[in-house]
Formats: sequence, structure tokens, C-alpha cells
Amino acid sequence: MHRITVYIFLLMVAFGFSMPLQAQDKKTITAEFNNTPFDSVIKKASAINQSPIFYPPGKLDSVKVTMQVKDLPLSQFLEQILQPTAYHFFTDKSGSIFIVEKKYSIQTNLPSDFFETSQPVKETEDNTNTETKNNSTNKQPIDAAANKLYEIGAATNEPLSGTATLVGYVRDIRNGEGLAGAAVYMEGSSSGVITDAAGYYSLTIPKGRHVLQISSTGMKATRREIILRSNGSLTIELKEDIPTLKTVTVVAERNSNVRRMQMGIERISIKTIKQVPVLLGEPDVLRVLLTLPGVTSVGEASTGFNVRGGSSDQNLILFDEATVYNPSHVFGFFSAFNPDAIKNAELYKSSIPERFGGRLSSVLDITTREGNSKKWSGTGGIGLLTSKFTIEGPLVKEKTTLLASGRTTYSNWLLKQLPSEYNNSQASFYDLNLRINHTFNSKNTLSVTAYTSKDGFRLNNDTTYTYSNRNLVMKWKHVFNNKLYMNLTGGMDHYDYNVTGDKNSVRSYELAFGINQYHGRADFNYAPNNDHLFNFGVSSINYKMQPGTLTPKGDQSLVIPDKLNPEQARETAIYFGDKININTRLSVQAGIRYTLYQYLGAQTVYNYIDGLPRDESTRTDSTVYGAGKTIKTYHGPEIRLSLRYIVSDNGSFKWSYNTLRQYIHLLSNTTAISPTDVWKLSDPYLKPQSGDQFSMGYYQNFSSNTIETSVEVYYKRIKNFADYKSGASIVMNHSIETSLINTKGKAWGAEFMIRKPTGKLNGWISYTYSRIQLKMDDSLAGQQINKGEYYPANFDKPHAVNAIANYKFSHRYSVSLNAQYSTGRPITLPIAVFNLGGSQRVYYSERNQFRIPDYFRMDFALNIVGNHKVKKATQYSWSLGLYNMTGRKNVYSIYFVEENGVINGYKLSVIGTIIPYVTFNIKF
Amino acid sequence: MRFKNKYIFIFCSQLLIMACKEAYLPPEISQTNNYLVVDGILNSSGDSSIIKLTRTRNFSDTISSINEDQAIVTVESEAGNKFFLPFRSNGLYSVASLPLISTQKYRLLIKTVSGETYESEYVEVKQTPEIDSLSWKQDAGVAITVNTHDPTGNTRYYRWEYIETYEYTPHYSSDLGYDYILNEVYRRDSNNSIDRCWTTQLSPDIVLATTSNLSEDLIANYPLTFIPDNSEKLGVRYSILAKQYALTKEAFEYWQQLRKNSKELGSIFGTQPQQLNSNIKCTSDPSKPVIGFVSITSLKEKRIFIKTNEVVNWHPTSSLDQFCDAIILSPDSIRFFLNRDREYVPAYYISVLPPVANPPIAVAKKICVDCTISGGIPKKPSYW
Repeated sequence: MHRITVYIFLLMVAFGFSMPLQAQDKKTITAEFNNTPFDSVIKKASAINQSPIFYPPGKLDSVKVTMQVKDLPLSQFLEQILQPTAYHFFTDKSGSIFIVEKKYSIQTNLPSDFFETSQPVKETEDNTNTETKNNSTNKQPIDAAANKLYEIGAATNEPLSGTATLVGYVRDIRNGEGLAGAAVYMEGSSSGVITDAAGYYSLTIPKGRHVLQISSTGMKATRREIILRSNGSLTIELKEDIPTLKTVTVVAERNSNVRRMQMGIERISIKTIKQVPVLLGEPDVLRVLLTLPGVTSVGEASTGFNVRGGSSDQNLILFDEATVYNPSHVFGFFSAFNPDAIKNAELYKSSIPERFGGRLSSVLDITTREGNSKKWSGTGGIGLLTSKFTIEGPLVKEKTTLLASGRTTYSNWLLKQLPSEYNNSQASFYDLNLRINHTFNSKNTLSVTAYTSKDGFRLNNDTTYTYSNRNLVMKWKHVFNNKLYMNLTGGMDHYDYNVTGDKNSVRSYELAFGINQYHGRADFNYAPNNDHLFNFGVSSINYKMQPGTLTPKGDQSLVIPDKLNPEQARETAIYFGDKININTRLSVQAGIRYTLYQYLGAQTVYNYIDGLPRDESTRTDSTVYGAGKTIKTYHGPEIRLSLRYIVSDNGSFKWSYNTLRQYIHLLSNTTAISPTDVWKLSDPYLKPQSGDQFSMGYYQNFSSNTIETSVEVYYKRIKNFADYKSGASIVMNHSIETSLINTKGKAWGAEFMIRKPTGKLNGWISYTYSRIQLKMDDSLAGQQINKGEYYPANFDKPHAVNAIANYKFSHRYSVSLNAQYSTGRPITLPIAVFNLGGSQRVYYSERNQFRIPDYFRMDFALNIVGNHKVKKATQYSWSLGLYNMTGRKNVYSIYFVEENGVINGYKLSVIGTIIPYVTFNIKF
Repeated sequence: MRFKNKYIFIFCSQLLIMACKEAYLPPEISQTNNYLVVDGILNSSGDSSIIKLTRTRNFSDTISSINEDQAIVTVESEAGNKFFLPFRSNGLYSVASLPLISTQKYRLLIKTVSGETYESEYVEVKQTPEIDSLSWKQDAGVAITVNTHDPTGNTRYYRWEYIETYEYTPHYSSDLGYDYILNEVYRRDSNNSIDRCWTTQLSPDIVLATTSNLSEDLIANYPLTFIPDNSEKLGVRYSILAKQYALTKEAFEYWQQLRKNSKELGSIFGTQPQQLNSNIKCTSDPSKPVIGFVSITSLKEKRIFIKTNEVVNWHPTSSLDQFCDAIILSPDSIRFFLNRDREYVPAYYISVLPPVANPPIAVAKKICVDCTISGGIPKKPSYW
């Protein structure tokens, strides 16, 4: 009987019953009860009702009714008699009345689009449960699916023993996109998994009845009651979390920062990105990164970012697995990624998963959105300088989705307003994204991402710079079975820049640089049971680089064409890792990655006298290598180890040790990434950079996990970091090995963070102490920097405090405040003036002995969302803000110029005032 | 690197920022840093050796030089032979000839009045080969290049200084003068003429070249300097004196660092300043940096001349020309006009027919008549 009740309940939920109250009111009851058993009362009531009344037999036997009623509407009568019990009732369209326990709340209104979208529960052959949709407009919010019992696997009479694997996707209910990084946990145990980038999860748990808790940043947490009979799948859809609604919060699973295996990982959802006030109202993933502990940049107009004392070329920036070499527009004012196309971004700072490699400091893994699989929609945004547009929708409903977005700038009109001196200047950029996702069946998914960005600017008919990224990547996901799946990825990445100078027709030139990279990889994920999660795979990258071509431009140009030899190399890696749950408290993730790097011909390599500094004078001869011939091989293992120990329900301790290797280097003589920096492959002379990092952290959540705190400390060593000799020229250098020297570095620091992820007031505050020091480590260097002692690197900023606070007044109005403070970066200053060789000159201090003034900035944003009628065809939002609201002139650089025989110092601020902005966004 | 600065300025402006650049002197650099600067060479060819000792100044200092006087300057060989360079004046220490042997190495020892002691490393003796020739070529300006070679192949590293001298004339070539006491126009004699001047400029650049990557120690047409098109330097006659020094590799690197620091004083995308690795140490306080690099070498010079008629299509323009309109005054108003406005001087008489005793006179701004106003001296150099 109990079973039948449950079944009835399922049906009711599935059809979303409502109560036709008006009809009910016509039926009245006139009767006198005196200690009447419940059964009898119901018999009487059902006679009046003319439709059956269902109730759990036996459960209400103890209820005796004593009352006198006259023409009381039946509904009120039932309310009264059920009031002291743990039961209540509701009525379906046919008038049948159902009496159920109060803990099952009831929908009272039929959603307006009920008949279009709702589907009954369907049991498919492979035991797949697809949830019914649940509309968020219900007056009484109810997560019906949360209260439903899902039966997974065929029902048998045998007792449930052993384990089974449950797989599926966690998706966003609005558009069907997979949610990455969502936590799926079994209540009452530590068994749980985090979904991958596609939202896929695989959880092996004992057979039987369980409650799963599912949560994801920015989404309303939910639970699923399941009876797991055998392997099966369950797709879970989450709703967006609207914090002002009083929802029943299931808090146990929110502590994913405590439970998560990895440490030093920052996950940013697009929602967070969009909340933070930004320059000119353009939501920007890289700028949000800079608010996180351990991430800094040298200044406002700089392309790169520095993670835990790494240089800016030590970050692997992946855009759907495609490597993006230059992640910004107009040299760092905007990031090159359209926020509307991004699903989320993950930054790995300390424990880098073994499937990633090739850079020393961090991996920024940006995942794009798959596109709305349910209906066509679009978004657009108009700002002062840029506009963007995104369209997405199903090409084949629930099968094939498309998302295309683009962004461009129209800043030229502003340049025209400048004094005539700059009238001829131009700046422009665009980026385009396309993603197509096709689901063949539940086991095969194919996605294609194409990305291109281009920047160009021209100064006063003088020099034109252009640079562009082009990436194409294809990914096939194949699920072999509930325990094993594979991602097969292949693609090509391209980056180039071009500098054209045409000031003087005789000296017009064009300087070009380009990298092409072809990559392929196979990643496997095998979860035999809940105590092991194996990751393994192979990857290979083929580099083809054109380090520099100088060509004359125009007929009159006398520039002598010059071309550096193209470079080729192959980087192959295999990796294997296992996440082991030793017991409910202790988990270990151990992985190894082995990389093999081959520097390939055709190439001409100069030879130098052994043991002497390499320069023109010690060059002996050269060796010519044929195409495809291996010139130099480097190989070595990389270790990835991390450990998590859960101290209590709300606290955990994590430890990790990583080693990494890097075979491609950015040669930059300047403090920030500048347009003419070149990437260089490791060759017989330029050894691969390698480094290791040891980190430890403690994570504690307070107040039912609504406040997360963490402390992480790290120590890092870097070997063979490339630095330059005095007077080194990087551009068009045929023997760059003569200009490079090896340095070693050490970095250490501590990161403190308090985060309140949800609530009307949410945000975080972090403090970072971090140091990075370098030391010349090259017997063949000749000149020693700072007498061979340790010196602070250009991006050494010991103290950094970041705070972000968002406050939601209502659904429509919210404000955000962002404050950043950091120690000024080190610089080398001239400390004295002297005359030598007939001219006045300046004397510089030892490298990086001084610092520019400290950096402080505060931004404010007001976000106004149009009204919340869900059925409105278009939704809009306004974003108004003040960037740098204190108007502080943060110093980017200090420099000295000789003017009329006097040396004058200047400080230069890239942003020297308050910048107000307004952006209009529209969604349809 | 300059254009990059411009670029940043543009974006600053684009963001409606008017004041991106502000004068600024970091407080750290106003501290007193008076380090010893050693300039000059020890001459290996038997000519006079001159060493100048000065102190570094602070940025805010207005004086052009702080001389280190009355120090004891000694050259010492590895064998222990000592030669003194007596103090002359203004920080200069010199000796007419040093008997240096090319197989020996020498070092410089300095003891200042305040008791600080300095010593250089032992330096090898280099001999500078002759400058084969200075040549020039007109191509959107005039490029002056140097040619030299060392048949022994020992020189390899070269540094040049050059001194440019050129003759110029003012807008109005005049032999008139005005005596404010007697209040009359007079004719200048040839000793007091102001219509021909010579300006001498020291090279601001450090010119360096090496043949270390060449099979032969040969410098061919190495650019020394460039005269822009229609420059006033070639308005009449131009001369350049090139001074060539052979360097050791270490000295070459020192000058290279110095050149790099001088060229780019720092900018947004500016390169890292280089530290100067002097071969001189302060022995009384090893933490104290010393500036300068002791070289023992010889000096070889060569001078060439270029006349304006040797270049084609050369139209020297001066920014002053537009200010040089003459005002014609009647003889009786000269006194009043020139006394009221001392910026004007007589330029030429206006010839009238028939000739009169007191013709009208044209006056012009001083700078258009008197060549000394723009900094030249009206005395022909001895070599001219």
C-alpha cells in the first residue's frame, strides 16, 4: 500500500496537479461528528465530493473527529480536520482529493506553459530518467523533482547489494547547458564527485536508497532521492539561484571548497564575472582573475598576468582546449574573450591536474557555452567603445546547438576627437566565437569551437601593429560505459603579429612573426568504483614557428629582406593519475606526466667553443639539420601529488606537490608583454624551464557553510628561466642564444581568503603575501645581474588585498564594489647624474632595488535589470559604474627624459581619473 | 621605443584622461649619492694621458660638475712600477707621457683627499690602429662613415667620439654695429665681425663597433653620424673630427651598457636598465659603486670637411628666417628705435639714388644679424 501511495504521489508531481478551488467551494458538507473514526469521516466526505478521496490507509486511524458543521465548503472542512495532523490535501482537475504528508508541499497553480513543456516520467531502455521540467514562476516554489523518488535500474526481488554506477549530466534548466564543476554528493557519506567541463558525472555508490545532493555555484542546490538498483543514468537540471527568494537551503553540500580534492584552484562562473565592476563596463574574465589571491599583473595596460610569482608566459590559457597566445585586446585593456560566450573559467594555481602541462605557473581553463538547446535566443550589449552580440539555439532540437558571438570596437570616433597630432590614429579589434555541439546519442557528443580575434592599431600614419589569434578545436566525447569515457580532441592554434612602418618610403618595412600549433589528445576517465578515479591519456603538440620575417614595403623601400629560420618542435606527453579515497576523511590524488620534447629540423645550428660565453667571437661553425631530423631531445617526468584530509564536517587540510616543465618561452626585454615580444622554442642552447611547487592549505567553513575561509601557503622553485644579457636584441636576432642567460628563481607566499558566496550581500576579501626573487645562474653569462645575488623580479608585489562586495537590493537593483591594493612593483631607478665621454649620463641602481608607489583602485557598479516577467520577449539590463572612483593616479611607470640638458623624472598613469561608464545589454 | 609611449598616450586620451604624465622625482633618489666618476684614458702611444675625476650629482643639483681635486692618482704595473698623474685643475690629472710596455698590465690607483682609496683591475695595453678614412654619402641627408682596419687582428673592439664643427652665417651678413654710448652706427673691423661663426659640438652618442664576428679585423663604412636633409650644418662648410679608440672586450661591454642606458632613460615598454660593471673598485668601502672604466689605449684622429657645394639640392632652412623681416628706418629715428628696443640691431644701409650722406638703414632682430647669438664663435678655428 505504501508503494501505491508513493506511486500516486509521483503521478501527481509529474502532472503538476493544482487545486480548482472554485469547484470545490460549491460542495459543502453539513454533518455532526462525535469521536468519529477518520475512515468514516472520509467516506462521508467522498460521498459529497462525488469523486474518490485518496489517503494513506492506516496512517490516520488514530484521528478521531468531533465537530459540527453546516454548509461548510468541503475544502474548509478537510482543512480543519487535517489541521492537527501531519497531513494535508489537494485536489486534481477531476475533483479527486489526495491526502498526503505535509512535508510534500503542493503546487497550487498550473504553470502557464505547463502543457508545452511538461513531460511525464519516461523510463527508457537504458534506465534513463529524464526529469520533468519545473517552472520557476510558481508562487510557492517547489522543487518537485527533488521530492520524487527515482528508481534507477530494473526492479528485482533480490536484495540490493554491491555497488552500481550512476552517470549523467548536471544541466542548467534554462538552456540545457551542462554545468561544470557541480558537486554531486551522497548524503551522509563522503562519496561525491565534481562534474567535468561538459557537466558530466559518474558516481559509484552502494546499491539501495540514497539521497543525492547537487550544487553548483550560482545555482540553486537541489537533492534527488534515488533507489539505485543497477548501473544507470540520471540527468539533473538546476535552476538559477535567486538569493532573495526564501528557499529551503540544503547546506550540507555547499562546502565544495572543503571537500574538493584539489587546492589552489579558482573557479569563476560567468555570473561572478559579470558582477564585478570593470573598465568601461565590459565584463572581463582576466580582470576578475586579478581580484583573486595570488594573481597580479604588472600594471593596467599589460597583457599578461602573474600567478604566484610566475612570469606572464608561464600561464597556459586554454579556450576549449585551444591555446591562446595573446589573451587580450589593445594590450590589456580588454581581455580577448567575449563574456557572453564563456561558461566558466578555472585557474589552477597549485595542484595542476596531470592532464595539463607545458607551462610552469598556472592553467587557465576557459570553457565556452554550448548554446541553448531548447530555444533560439540572443544577447547584445552596447557600451561606449565596444558592442557585442550573441545568438544561440538548437539547430536540431535537443540534439545540435549553435552559439555564435562577436564583439567589435568603434573607438576610432574617439580618436578623431583628439588633437590633430593624433587624428590619423586608429585602433580596432574584433573577436568571433562559434561553437557547435552535436549529441549523437547519450554516448557520443561532438563539439567544434572556432575562435578568432584580431587587433590592429595605427599611430599617426607611422607604425601599424596587428596581431591575431585563430583557433579551431574539435572534441569528441565517447562514453564507453558507466565507468569509462573518453575525450578525443584535435585542433590547430595560430598566433601572429605584424608591425608595419611606413613613415619613410625608403625605410618602409613589414615585420612578421607567427606560431602555428597542431595538437591532438586523448583523455580517458575511468571510475571503477568510488575509491578510484583514473585519468590517463596522451597528447602531442607540433609547433611550427616563424620567428621573424623582415620585408621591404613598397617599391621604394630599401629595407633588406631578412628571414629567421623557421623552427619546428614536437612535444609529446603521456599521463596517468588516480584519485584515491583512502577513507572517508583522507583522499590522495597522485599523477605522473612524462613529456618528450624534440627540437626538429630543418635548421642551422651554430656551434660555440665549449665552456666560454656564447657570442660571435666564440662561434666556431654551424651544423645543418635536414627536415624532420631531431636536433635536440629533452624529456622528463612531472609529478602531481595532492592530498586532502577532512578534519571535520566544515574543515579540511590539503597538501600538494607539483613539478612542471615548459618548452616554449616568451622572450621579452620589457616589464609587460609588448607587441614585439617573440616566443621561442627550446633548442640545443635554451633549456626547458622547470619548476616545482609545494603548497599547503587549510579550509574552514562557518555558519552552515555560508562563509568560506581558506589559508594557503606555497614555496616554488624555478630553473632555467630565460633572461638577457646587456644590450640583447630580441627582434630579428639570428643567434639569440648569444643574448640569453639562465636564471633561477624562488617564490613563496601565503594567501588568505574569506568568501561569502551567497546571500543578499556576497563577495570576498583576500590578502596575499607573495615574493618572487631571481638569481643569475649561468657560468657562461659574463655580466652578472646584481653581482649574482637574488633580486626581486619585475612582478614581485609582496602585499595585495582584494575585496569584492555585491549587494542585491532587489531582483532588479544590485550594486558592486571592488577594491584592490597592492605594493608597487619593483623598478630600477637612476640614482645619480654624472658626466662621462662628453655627455651627461645617469647612474642606475642595482636591478629592481626600488618600487613604484603602491597601487590602489576602487570601482563601483550599479546593475539594473529590466522587469522580471519571464514571458517578456526581451529582457534588458543596464550597467552603470565608476571605474577608479577615487580618481587615484596609479603609477604605471616612472621614467626619465633628458630635456634641455636637464634630466627630468615623470610618472605615468595609464588611468588617471574616474572613468564613468554605461553599458546596455539586451537578451531575447 | 618612443612610438609606444605615444600609443599609451593615445589610449590615455581615449579614456578621457588628460594628465597621464606628471613630473615626479621618487623620494628615494634625492638621497645623496656622490660616487666617484673616472673619465679619460691612459695613453699607450706616448701622448699625454688625461684623467678627470668627478663626483656624481643628485638630480636636483644645478651645478654641472663636482670635481674631485687634490687626489693622488697613480698608475702601477704588475711588476710594481709606479707613475704619478699630478693634479692640474678642475678635477684634471695628467702627465705628458706614460712609458707603458705593451706586454705588461697596469692598474690605476686613486686616493682622495677624504682618504677613500680606489683601484682598478689590471688592464691590458691596447694600440689603436689609424683611421683609414672618413667618408660620406648623400642620401636623404648625409651619412658619415668611418673605415679602419687592423692587419694584426688584435683590435676587434672600437669606440669613436666625434666633434662636429660647422660654419654658418646669420640671415643678414652685416659689418654694421651700433655704439650705444656715442649713439651711432659704425662699421666693424675684421676682428669684430659677426657675420661668420663656427659652432663646435661634442658627440652625444657613444659609437661602438666590433669585428669579433668577422674573419678580418676590418670596419668598412661604419655609420658615425647622420646629418639630416637641409640641415644648417652644411649651410657653408662642415667638418668632423673622429677620434678612434681600441677597447678591450670588457671595456666595450661597459660602453655598450652605458650607451643603452643613455639612449633609453626608461619608458612604458622600456627595456631594463643595465648595471654598469666598472673595473674600478672602492677598496676603502667595497659597497660603494664607482663609475667609469679604465682603458689603456691610444687615440687616433681624422678630420674631413664637406662644403655646401659638394652636396646637391641642399637648402638650409632656419626656423629663425620667419622672424628676420627687416625694418627700414630713417637715419634720424635710428637712435630712438634702437635704444627703445635693444633686440634690434642695424643690418644694412639702403642704397638710394642719388647717394645721400645719411641713407636710411634696415634694422633686424639681433639673432638675424649676429651669429654669436645662436652660440657660435666668430673666430675661425686653426684647422679651417
